[in-house]
Amino acid sequence: MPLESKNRVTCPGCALACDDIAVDVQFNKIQKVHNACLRGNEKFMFSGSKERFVTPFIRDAKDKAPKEIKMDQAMLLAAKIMQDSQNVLILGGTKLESNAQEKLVELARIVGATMSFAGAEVLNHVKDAMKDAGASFTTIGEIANNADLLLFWGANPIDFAPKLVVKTVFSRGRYRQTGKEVKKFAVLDGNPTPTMERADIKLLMHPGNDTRYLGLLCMELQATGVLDEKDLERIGFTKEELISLGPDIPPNIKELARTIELTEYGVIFVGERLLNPAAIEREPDLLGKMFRFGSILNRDRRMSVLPLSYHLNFAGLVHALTTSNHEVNVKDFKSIADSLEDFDAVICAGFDLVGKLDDKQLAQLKESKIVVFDYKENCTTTVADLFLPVVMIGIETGGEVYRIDGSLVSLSKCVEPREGLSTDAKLLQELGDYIQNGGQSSFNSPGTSIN
Amino acid sequence: MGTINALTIYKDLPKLNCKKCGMLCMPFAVELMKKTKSLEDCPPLMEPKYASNLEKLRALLKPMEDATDTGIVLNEDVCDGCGVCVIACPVNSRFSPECLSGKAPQVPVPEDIIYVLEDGRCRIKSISQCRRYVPPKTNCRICEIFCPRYAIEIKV
Repeated sequence: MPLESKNRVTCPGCALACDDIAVDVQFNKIQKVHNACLRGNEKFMFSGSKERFVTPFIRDAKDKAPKEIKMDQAMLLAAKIMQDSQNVLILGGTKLESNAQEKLVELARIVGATMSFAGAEVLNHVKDAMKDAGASFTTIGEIANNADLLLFWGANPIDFAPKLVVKTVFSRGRYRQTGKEVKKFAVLDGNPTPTMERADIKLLMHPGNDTRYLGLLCMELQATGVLDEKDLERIGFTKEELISLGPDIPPNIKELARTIELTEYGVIFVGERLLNPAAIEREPDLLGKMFRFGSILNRDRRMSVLPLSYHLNFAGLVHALTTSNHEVNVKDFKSIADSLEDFDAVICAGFDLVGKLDDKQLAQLKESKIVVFDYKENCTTTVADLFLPVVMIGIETGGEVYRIDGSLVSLSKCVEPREGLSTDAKLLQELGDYIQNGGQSSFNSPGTSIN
Repeated sequence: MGTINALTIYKDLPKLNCKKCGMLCMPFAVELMKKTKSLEDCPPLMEPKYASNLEKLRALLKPMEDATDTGIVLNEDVCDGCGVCVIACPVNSRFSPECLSGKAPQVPVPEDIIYVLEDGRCRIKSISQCRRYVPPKTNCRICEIFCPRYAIEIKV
């Protein structure tokens, strides 16, 4: 069989969904990946790996050893577990494609499950802050073509999504043909990061002082005439608050203010350091102030604010939840982790629950049945009562995902899935149908039970 | 490690201008940097009294053993495949329209492209069109300056 090269493949590695990947396929196996970063390359190559989990199993009640079963039996068991449970918890879903996410939300509605996922705790906070401020969205292409100021606040994309800086800071856009030379790259962070090392304007602050530095930046912008007193009030800074910050403004803040004054199109990337529960608890109004700051600056020049989430389809799950016709109970993961004993069945859809728990929280899981949908081994599969293998999204099946900037992009199918494997969407749909129809489905087969 | 240039090499040469290598010491230093001459071409340097100088020069020129003709040394172990070099390199942009719009070149990759991403890491495909190589040679260091992982070093 000749080697076939497929161009313009979209990478399912992270939320950046790079669409310039090329793969060489031979014997229905990916032989080589071009243009992907280490993370993306690993995901593509894992599809043909021997370490891949392709067989469903249940855990023996006595010796706790995994025992292989057929897919029909596994589906039946999964359905029974959900039917027999009073409180079902569904975790994850941010790495599924949009259609599968809709099925997951629908399944949660059918069984009356509680849902949670990484980032659920900050989701409402970010959504409310953006809605209140009327913040301006943007796309990666727009940033590459037009932006001349890239401000990464609490973000370290070089470690988490290396190609983000390539696509925004270093790329040559339609109106930025000289690339990085006409762009200002600024990083404000609490720790020295690789991203900060390469920045033109870098500001290392004490962690937790972001509001203070935003206040100082606003004061400097007021001094240069970009903002007036009313704007500062709208952003959320009182006069007394600003006076308490002191008259000394660091030179880097002055330089950043000068750059903002001269910029035609700036983008503020709000990073992972600000989008976590601890940061929000420490500075509750910081995100609101940042979005209002961006929104007010957008009055005289283009200024967009982009919160960064690196999960493949985080925005898709948000979309599925908000457009669902029925209310689904979504809780933040922190409170869920402390009350796991309330749930008698835990469904993990591409989510490593055990890896995120401490010993005390883990002990609460003793009585719960754990069902895992995944394609690889993780901490949760080592204790899962039931495991159902799925195909790899964006490699063995197509689909649509929402990119980091909220644009809907299509994933490509590079190779045929292994025999017997189904997509998450199909499995979730069948489970939902089975439960809704009171036990009538194609996967009815006699069998095995979990004790 | 600092940049190697002719002057740093010249400092440790015997500076006798004996022309036993066929030239004066300073041009010899330049030729050493270009790798057209080797330290063994300088007979006085092989004498015992210059042993420490010889040792220093060997240490100084050792990194250049791995360097390509343009002096570019790529440390693949450090590279995470971000692809900054692929789109920042002016030669890549010249030969691949995709690079001009911030995307990596599609396969089959044009022959004259310098940097490509394969297996999640950067690779040097060809240096025939590198601005450091093609006359008039320029001291282009864009790949070295922009690489966020410091995986690219230019030794000359």
